[in-house]
Amino acid sequence: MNHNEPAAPPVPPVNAEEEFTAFMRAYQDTVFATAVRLTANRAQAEDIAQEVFLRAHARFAQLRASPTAGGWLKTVATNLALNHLSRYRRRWRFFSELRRADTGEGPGPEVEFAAPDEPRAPVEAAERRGQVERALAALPDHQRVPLVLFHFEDLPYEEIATRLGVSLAKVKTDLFRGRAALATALRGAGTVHDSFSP
Amino acid sequence: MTPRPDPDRLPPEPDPLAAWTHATLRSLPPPAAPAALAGRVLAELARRETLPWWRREVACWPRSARLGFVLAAGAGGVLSAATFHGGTERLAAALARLTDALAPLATLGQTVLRAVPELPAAWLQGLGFAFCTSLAALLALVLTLARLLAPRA
Repeated sequence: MNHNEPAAPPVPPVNAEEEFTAFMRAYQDTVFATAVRLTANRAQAEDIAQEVFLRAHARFAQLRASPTAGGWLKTVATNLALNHLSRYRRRWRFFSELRRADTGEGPGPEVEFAAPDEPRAPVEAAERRGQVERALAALPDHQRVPLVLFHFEDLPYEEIATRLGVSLAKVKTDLFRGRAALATALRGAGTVHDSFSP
Repeated sequence: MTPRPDPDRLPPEPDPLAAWTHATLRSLPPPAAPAALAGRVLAELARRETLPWWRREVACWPRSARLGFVLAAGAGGVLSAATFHGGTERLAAALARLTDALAPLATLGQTVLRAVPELPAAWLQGLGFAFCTSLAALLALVLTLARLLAPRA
């Protein structure tokens, strides 16, 4: 389902605890990435990842040899992160209705961007990745969450709307505004170069 | 002559902004999990192992305890159904018996309420202080008993 679906644990286990530890080491980056991109908070993402692996431990007998373990872990991480956001940030829906000056209705902003596969020096590429991560994390929840679910988790519009309990039109609007805000933030950071008018 | 394609059946024009966003985000490597994450999970699992069975999830209870819980819940349901099976008359009779049993307490309360305005202010302050002290002592006793009976692992 996802481009960074990890392979099964490569290390042969010695006992149950070591086997589960190897399982965690194999999948922890995937689970943590899902949680931290949705919550934009490392401490909360760590708590969510811990809960995911505690649940995985309860059904480790089925997961240990399952080829879909990575997908199961990502689904649980996504659900827990969304539950966390809806529980502690119920206000985001309210605030999402407010019109932001920089992401308002109408034609999108004039955006300039570079091709993502453009060859760059390693340091420059790492700096650019950091800028993208920071720009994504800085987006408000109602824009970042649909972006992550669509572009990282490959969920279709309808499922995102169902998961978030909002209309399909709102998902599309938030996605458009999120992309435009991301491009604007990266243009401000000097990461976007080529001229582009959406 | 080549037929012209139906415009309604053409695939939608790809959105350049969406394509750029997709490629930009998908080029990011997954953020590395904290090195301590696995240790935290193992420590939490070890902590849960030390909990008594009745403080764990019901799914982790011993089979006999789960069976007893189901039987007790069933018995409670049957008892409730039997209690209310007789209809409102039986319920009214039960409430009347309860009211009769509580009547002396109500009389005592009325007597106290009538006597309170007659008491000197110093007595009322002393009684209030004694009441608050007793309440705090009772709360401390309950908390101590709770900690003794259900120590945190």
